[in-house]
Amino acid sequence: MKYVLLALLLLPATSVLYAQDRLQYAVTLIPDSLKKNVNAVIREESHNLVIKSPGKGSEVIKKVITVLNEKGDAGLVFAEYPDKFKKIDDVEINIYDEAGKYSRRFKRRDLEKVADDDGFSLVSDDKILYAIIRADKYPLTVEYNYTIRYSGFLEYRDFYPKFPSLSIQQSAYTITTSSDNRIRYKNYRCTDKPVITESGNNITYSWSVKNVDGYIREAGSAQRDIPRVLISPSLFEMDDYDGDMSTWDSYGKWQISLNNQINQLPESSAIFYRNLVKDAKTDKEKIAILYKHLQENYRYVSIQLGIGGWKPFPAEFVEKKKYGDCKALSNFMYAMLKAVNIRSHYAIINAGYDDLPVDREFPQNAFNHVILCVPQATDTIWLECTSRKKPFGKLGNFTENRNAFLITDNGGVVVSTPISKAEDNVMKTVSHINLLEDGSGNASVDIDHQGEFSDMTDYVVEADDQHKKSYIINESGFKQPDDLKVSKKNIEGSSYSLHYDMQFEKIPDFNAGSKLFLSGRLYKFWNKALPKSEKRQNDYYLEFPLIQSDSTIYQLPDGFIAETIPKPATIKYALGSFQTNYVFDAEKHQLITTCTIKINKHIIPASRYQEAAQFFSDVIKEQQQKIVVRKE
Amino acid sequence: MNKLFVTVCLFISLQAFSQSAMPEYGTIVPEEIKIKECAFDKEADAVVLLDRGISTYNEEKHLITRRRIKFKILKESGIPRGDLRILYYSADDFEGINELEAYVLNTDATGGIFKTLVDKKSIFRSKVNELYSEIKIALPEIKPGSIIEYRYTSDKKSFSGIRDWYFQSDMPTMISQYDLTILPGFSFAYKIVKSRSLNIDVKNFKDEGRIIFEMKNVAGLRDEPYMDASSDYLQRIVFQLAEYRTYYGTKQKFANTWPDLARELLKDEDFGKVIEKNIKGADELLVSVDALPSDYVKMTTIFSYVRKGFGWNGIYSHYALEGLKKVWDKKGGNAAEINLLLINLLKEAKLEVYPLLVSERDHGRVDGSYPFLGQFNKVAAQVMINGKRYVLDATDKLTPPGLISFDLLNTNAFLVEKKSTGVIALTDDSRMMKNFTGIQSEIDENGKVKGMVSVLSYDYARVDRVNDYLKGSKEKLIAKYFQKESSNIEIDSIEIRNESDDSLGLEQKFHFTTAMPSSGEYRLVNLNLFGGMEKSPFVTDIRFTNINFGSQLYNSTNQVIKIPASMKPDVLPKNINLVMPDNSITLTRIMAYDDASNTVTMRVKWQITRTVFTPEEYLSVKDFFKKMVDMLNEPLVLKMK
Repeated sequence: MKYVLLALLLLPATSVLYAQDRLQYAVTLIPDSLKKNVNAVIREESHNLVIKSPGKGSEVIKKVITVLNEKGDAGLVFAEYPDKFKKIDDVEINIYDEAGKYSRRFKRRDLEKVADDDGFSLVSDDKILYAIIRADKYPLTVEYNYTIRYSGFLEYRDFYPKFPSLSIQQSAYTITTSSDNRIRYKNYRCTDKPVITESGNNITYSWSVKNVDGYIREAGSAQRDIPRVLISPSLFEMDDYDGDMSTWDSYGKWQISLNNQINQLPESSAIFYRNLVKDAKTDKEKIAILYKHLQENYRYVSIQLGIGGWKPFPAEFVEKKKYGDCKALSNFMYAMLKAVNIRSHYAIINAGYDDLPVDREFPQNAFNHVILCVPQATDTIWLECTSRKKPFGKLGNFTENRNAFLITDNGGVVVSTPISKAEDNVMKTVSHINLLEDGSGNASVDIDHQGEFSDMTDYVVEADDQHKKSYIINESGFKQPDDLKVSKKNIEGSSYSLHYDMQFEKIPDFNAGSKLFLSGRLYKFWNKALPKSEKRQNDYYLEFPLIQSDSTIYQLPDGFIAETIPKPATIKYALGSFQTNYVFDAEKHQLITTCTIKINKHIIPASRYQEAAQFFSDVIKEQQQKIVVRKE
Repeated sequence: MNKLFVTVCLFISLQAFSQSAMPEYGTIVPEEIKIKECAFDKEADAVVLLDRGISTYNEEKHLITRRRIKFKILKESGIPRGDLRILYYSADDFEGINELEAYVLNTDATGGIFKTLVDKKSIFRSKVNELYSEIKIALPEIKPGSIIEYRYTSDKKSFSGIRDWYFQSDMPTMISQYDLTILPGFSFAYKIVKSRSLNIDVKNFKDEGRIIFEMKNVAGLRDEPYMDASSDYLQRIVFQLAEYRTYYGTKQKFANTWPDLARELLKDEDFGKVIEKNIKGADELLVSVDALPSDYVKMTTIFSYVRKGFGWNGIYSHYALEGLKKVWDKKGGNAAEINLLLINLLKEAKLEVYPLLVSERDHGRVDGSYPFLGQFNKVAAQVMINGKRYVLDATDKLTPPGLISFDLLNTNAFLVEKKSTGVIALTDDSRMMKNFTGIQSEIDENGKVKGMVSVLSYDYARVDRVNDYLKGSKEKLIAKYFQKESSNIEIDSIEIRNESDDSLGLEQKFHFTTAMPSSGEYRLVNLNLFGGMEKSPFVTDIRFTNINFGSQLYNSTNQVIKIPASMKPDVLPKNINLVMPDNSITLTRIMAYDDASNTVTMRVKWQITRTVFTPEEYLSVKDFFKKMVDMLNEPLVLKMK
């Protein structure tokens, strides 16, 4: 006992002996060229991954980073995500000053471990192991050393030969595996090749780079459009399920081993679903009925535990609870369809409007979402099973324009999801405005929403007064009404229509003398401008293609005429068009304005960026035109 | 006999005791099934039908609380409330949650009623941080109309774990009742915080040491813009015990007077004592500080050393539980540890320094009549140099010494010294959120506007912007404050100056180009390009809470516009002097046109000199902002000659 006590007392004192200065980390040794346009420099990074078997391995990591100023503070954060298949060991973090003189250190016990609140999972066993290092003075250099022990693999880390806003002095990645379980790799927007050495039964791949400048990431570029070497297992094992990722087909077999047995519903449930669709004439009708049943009765709850990151909860569980995550709900929909003898495919995908399709030629676990694919004789029906609102058969920009990894009866295959169409995302606004002589008036506004536009309609109706008005004023850009009533009607064919009754003390933007200056409409019709980007290199991602139109009818007070109305205009560019028109009907004292914008494609190629920027800028300018009315 | 100090019982209604009988757990109540909206809060997406807590003690003197909550989902947007979370204090196994049960009640189109029990598989536990864990329940079959009822027993190792009881939340509450039986021998006090318009029933069974509180039909409290702390408004019972484990994982002392409380704290091993104890390893710093020329420089040197070198772990506290040596070695700690370390070092440097217990604006107002420690959430330092007071908080990495942190400005604090006289006000009317904007622009014959902008930001406006600049870039700073995505304005040649000299205004300079909208022979010049007030933040018709701007606001814009020879102003916007009856908000605009140079000048100034406005004043403030925004948005109309 005494001995332990003594050891404890000695610890802080002896730790000083381990610590050493690292003069090679002196900031003066960084070439000037690597300090331009960056806030931090990777001095040295090495990852040494040893794959002992398809499901076992370790990775020794050393990373030395010099942070030049507070904008580079991201380099002062250590964060790893241990889980059931990934342990973080031997963590040691040493901190050095500008000259490379030792300042202090962190050990494993100094790190904080908390549950990873990813913001949407109710429950997950993801933990974050982290430390935030405080900079008492810039620049400073931090050396991170740690080891990851894997007891399951589904993926390996990719190699990044360059980074945005971060330069590299030297960086290396070495993977050692047995020659009967070779890794697979492929370059994406880079040309780095590994040095391969074989000795005995082992094969080693190493990539390395030296003195690489940081590059600037352009706003609006695709999420994963980052130069890297994709690296992926051939043979792998996860939670006693082993698989082969060399082909999509063999990878699919692994997912089948996870999904079978949990994608069946008991006969009593099957009878219920068969009864539900008994009056349907076609398979398509049956699918629609079951999808509607899913949307009306089931909700999305994210629960990620253990292999649950890849294995869905059983269909029976979902049926009992009436909830599940994307995997569980898609698997449940699969099981319902199976109960009525309709074949469908669990479809694994990467989600996000600005994400790229996965490489068809390179099987890799680059996914974060699951949908369902129902092949039909003439067309294929895709179902997003986590949405209570999506129209039947429409995926939306979250998963359109992508490659989905379909799990077939015997394996897997990659197919394209539908391309986003402007016609699917339509917003049509019609306003009738009654303008009185004192400038006050009321407006009756009908807005039809389809596709991506319909997402906010429930919110606008259900939100409390503060949020409702903030949305209408700040997001839709309406003039602040003095009184507002919002109602909603659902129209057949999955469009959502909102109706606003609004009162205004003052409808004109302003008056100058006897003239009233009116805007073409009471809200900002278009407000998306592209950021300035002179030599655009990357494509720019808008959220979705669309058609948006407006008609505004001003009923002027008796005796009022339009003194000036803007000219009709048409603005076009290769991927979009805008038209506007203004008409004054003197007899009815009515002023009618119309405008329409159509964006055909949501991806603006880098080569058309300046054209597109000009188009959006012209549209904004055009809709700022004012109408002048006055008493005759 | 219990020591039951009832020091405060405000506005207790004198009506006869009429506390409600509640239906048993699991009972189906037809009236509840009929509820479609909450009659006293129609906007609500869910309503609490009942909320009941019964606290008592067991043989081991544990605090045993049986809690039961029943609520109903009213709208689609209320569905996420079907993910329940129960937070509990898991450190040292202080609190256990047992006997958890829940069910969901639904009806179908034919009026059939279905009850779904929640099984163990849907209940998850996870650790939130060093102190807390959470039980999460994914409730089955949740949809609008679902009634959810759940109950559990919390077992805390000691009565010091007693929590304030809230009758109100962001959901409206029909009945909320707290039934408390005190452990004999435990001394405590409570205070009722409630609105005058609501009634509370309090029934005191003195012989049993038992007291029951009940409120009915309390509307939900939702966020409002420029709202001060929600805890200032929530209807609740606040408890103060002799020994108390607070949310911050610490104990607290009960005192009858402020001087008592000050004495207790100064004697405390984890508060007063740590300030006195010298810290091993700090000598080098203190020796170098000793050589500095003035007390002010000594203070700023130590302050900057602590706030740059020591990280705050995000935990609020009143105490340094593990001593300051550990904080020194780890270079970080909770809010009290960091500021007690600061106080310790300032004291070692022989400066006149006192601990200050503070409550950030978000944490809630401090009531000076009651010496309750729970009213405060942080420790700060007060330093006196030549009669001038400095309030320092080393967890605030941005505010320069000499400026009271924005979160503390216009709040009350407790100065911990032997002869303490209670709370003091942290005010400083000379410092505000202040911006001066100068714009010079020229319009060409084609309607293009080109100009130069120079903005000087002082005090609180400066603090925010310097942070945005240092953490981001000059482009990001300009984009955030001046360049709206929707605008058609191009900005270049950005220069930022004075970011490292606290005594100067942060200078933000740039050039801009934009195009004027037109209308026949008229051209319109936007005069509200960079003032930052394009829309009013106040949009609702009703307001429940104070508007609290935090600090005074001051904005001035001087603009000179050169007009091309082919145009002239049609009608100039009017000169304005808009004032609130008490002058608390003012707007002035002076326009002038010089014929000879064909130049328009505009001087606009708006100012808010009072920081807090009551809900009764809301409509007049809303109206003022609406008029102000309208006027600021009035363009200059030019006419072709």
